[in-house]
Amino acid sequence: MNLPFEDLIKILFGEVFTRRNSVFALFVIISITFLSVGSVWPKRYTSSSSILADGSDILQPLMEGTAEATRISDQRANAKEIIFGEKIMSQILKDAGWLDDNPSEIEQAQLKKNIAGNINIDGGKELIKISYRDSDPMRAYITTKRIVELFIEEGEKSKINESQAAYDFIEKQVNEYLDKLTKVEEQLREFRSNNPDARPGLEAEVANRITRLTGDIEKTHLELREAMIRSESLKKQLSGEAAITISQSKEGQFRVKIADLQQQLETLRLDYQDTYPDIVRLKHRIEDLKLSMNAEIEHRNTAKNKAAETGVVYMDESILLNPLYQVLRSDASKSETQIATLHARMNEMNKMLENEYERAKRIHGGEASLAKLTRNYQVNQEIYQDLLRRMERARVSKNLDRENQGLTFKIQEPAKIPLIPTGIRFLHFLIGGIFLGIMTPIVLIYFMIEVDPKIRYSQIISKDLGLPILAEMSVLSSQSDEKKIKNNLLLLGLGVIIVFLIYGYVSWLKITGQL
Amino acid sequence: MSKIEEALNKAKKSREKGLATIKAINTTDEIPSSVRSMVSISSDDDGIQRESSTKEISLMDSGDIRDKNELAELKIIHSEMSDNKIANTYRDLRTKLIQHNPGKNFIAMITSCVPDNDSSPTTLNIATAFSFDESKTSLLIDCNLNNPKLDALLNMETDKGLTDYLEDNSIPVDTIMHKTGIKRLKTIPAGTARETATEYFTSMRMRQLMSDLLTRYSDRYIFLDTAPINESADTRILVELCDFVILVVPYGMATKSKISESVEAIGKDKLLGIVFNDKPKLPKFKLSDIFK
Repeated sequence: MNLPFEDLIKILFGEVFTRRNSVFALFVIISITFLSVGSVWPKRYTSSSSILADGSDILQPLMEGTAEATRISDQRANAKEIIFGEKIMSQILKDAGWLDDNPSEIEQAQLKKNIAGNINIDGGKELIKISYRDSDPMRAYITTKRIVELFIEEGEKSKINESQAAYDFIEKQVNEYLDKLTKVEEQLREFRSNNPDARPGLEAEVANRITRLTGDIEKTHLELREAMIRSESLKKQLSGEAAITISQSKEGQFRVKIADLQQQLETLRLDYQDTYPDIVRLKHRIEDLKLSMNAEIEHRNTAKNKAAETGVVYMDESILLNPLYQVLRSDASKSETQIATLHARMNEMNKMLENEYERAKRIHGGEASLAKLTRNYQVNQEIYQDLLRRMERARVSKNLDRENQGLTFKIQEPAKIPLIPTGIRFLHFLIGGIFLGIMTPIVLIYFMIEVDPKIRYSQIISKDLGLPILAEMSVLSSQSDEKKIKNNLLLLGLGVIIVFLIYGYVSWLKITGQL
Repeated sequence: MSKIEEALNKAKKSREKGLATIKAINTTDEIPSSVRSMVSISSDDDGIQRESSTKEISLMDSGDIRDKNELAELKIIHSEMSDNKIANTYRDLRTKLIQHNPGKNFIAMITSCVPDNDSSPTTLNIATAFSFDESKTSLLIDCNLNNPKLDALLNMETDKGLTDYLEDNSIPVDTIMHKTGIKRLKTIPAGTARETATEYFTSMRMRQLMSDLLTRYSDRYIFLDTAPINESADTRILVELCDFVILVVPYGMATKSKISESVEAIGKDKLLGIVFNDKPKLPKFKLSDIFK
């Protein structure tokens, strides 16, 4: 139903009036219930204290970059873990005076559970707020104070332990690395003594030399070949063929002489007879020359044949005395010498190359192991030095923790004795009882009006159903009815006054502390 | 009643004296309802003459007049009520009804749309409001035969009523009309003979009675108090006999569908309108009242 506000209020009041007895009954029930609950509701006193916790732990900065330690990310959870631990809880039970009545083990466990339920730990990264709620303000104060003290004590202890543990750990690591380093150093020294020439870059040098030697050998080889070819050709020139050539030139000389004499003879014959002595002498001379020439030819042929047979060139003196031949001979012997020299050099170089190869083979393995050893040594040395530095820092931190207690936990706000109870108090119940006592029936009636489909508003008939409204009549009450209503209202008024009197009385009892 | 009203009534009375005769003839011809159509036939047969009624009304014997305290106790409105508002509401309603049928008297049926709720006090008060006017008289007929209320409401005992009249042809109309102790208001109670009601209302004698009552005096307004429309078949039959129906919707008791049902049962053309009833009234007390 969508009623105009004014009409809704009218209808609401009408309904409340019509149901005034139920409304009153509900009012009495609710307000008295609240009053009775409020009067027995225990007063709660809360004492609280804040602790500033230095959130950083020691191992972390010490081990930064080297190792990652687990961090306390949630101070609140950490504090809870510590405070709700058996140790602190038992201590609190003792200190706050719970054990005065000598409770049994089971009762103690229940007490601890109750206390834990009343402890509230709140906090962020650095600030922890611990509060404890109790019906006794003094006990609330003592308990809170003791919780904070015990917590800090416990926290300090754990801090010292932590720094000690960190130091111990680093120290152990340092020793380990020292061992490793010494071992590697020893290995390196041993290797050096075994491989004296082992030094960095040697391999490259050897390779270089091999290349150079190979190049030289090739060059020498070329030279040798060249010398051999020259010697060959010189030998050829000095061989029989040369002798033959010379011999042919001798024959030619004979022939030229013969031809000359023949001409002279021809010329004499023109004037003289054959018997002319000049002619006869000429003839004889020609004859001699021919014989010499033939002898020369013969000689040559024999030499040729002989050379063909034995390969040894026959040299007659004339040849040997030939200056050209002399030069050739000298050249040939020179090149012979050169060949021999080159051969010797070649052999020497090959030997050297072989040596170099041998050395290269040896060097190759040596350098790899040297690199490995050196690397190991360097790495270990770096880590060792780093750890050594860290160990010194850890030592300082450890000493700091040991000597400077309370550095990581500081009481920001100490616990106080609470004077005013917290939570729901009697006054709240008083106000709530009266307020709800009045509002609940009204709200209930309001919902009834909203939900109930029965018509309470004439406009609905005229608007929704389109029927004309002739008149709207209020209830017609007789005088006796009115009197009844009046009496009823007086009675209800009296009832309300009585309720208020009860409220006043109970409040007075509460204020004076009798309840 | 205010002085102006009295003056108006006086003027009306003197005017009606002259006009009554003509009006009586005219009305009979015009009335379209079934009851009215019988008037022309019946009036001749029975020899009932319609006369100027004002004189008779003024002379009408209303029996011992009840005083205002008694009326207030019976929850009947009266002109000197302390809470004038309700009386005025009824007066307004009366004016509306008269305006709806200008210059004619009528038979109005008043019924409730909720079975448990009865409309009798409302009917009684509407009839009473008509009787405020010195120039008008009202007749209240209790048609709720199974569960008559009027006698109790008026705190009186009657012997003969509607059923007796319908049973027994020898009983004249006058004997079943009772004085109420309220000026210009008479009732016909339900009566003592109780048989199946439906048959009474469908009878010719019932129709005859209605037309007689309507035509006897031109200033007599007839109100039928009936059982809730959804509860009784009688009421539906009676719809036919009346000129219009007023539906009483009690506050916080009827749903929309209930109202629609009732309207359907009545028929839209017969329904004049709704009276929204029983609205809760916050009492107005003065501080001095409490200590009386």
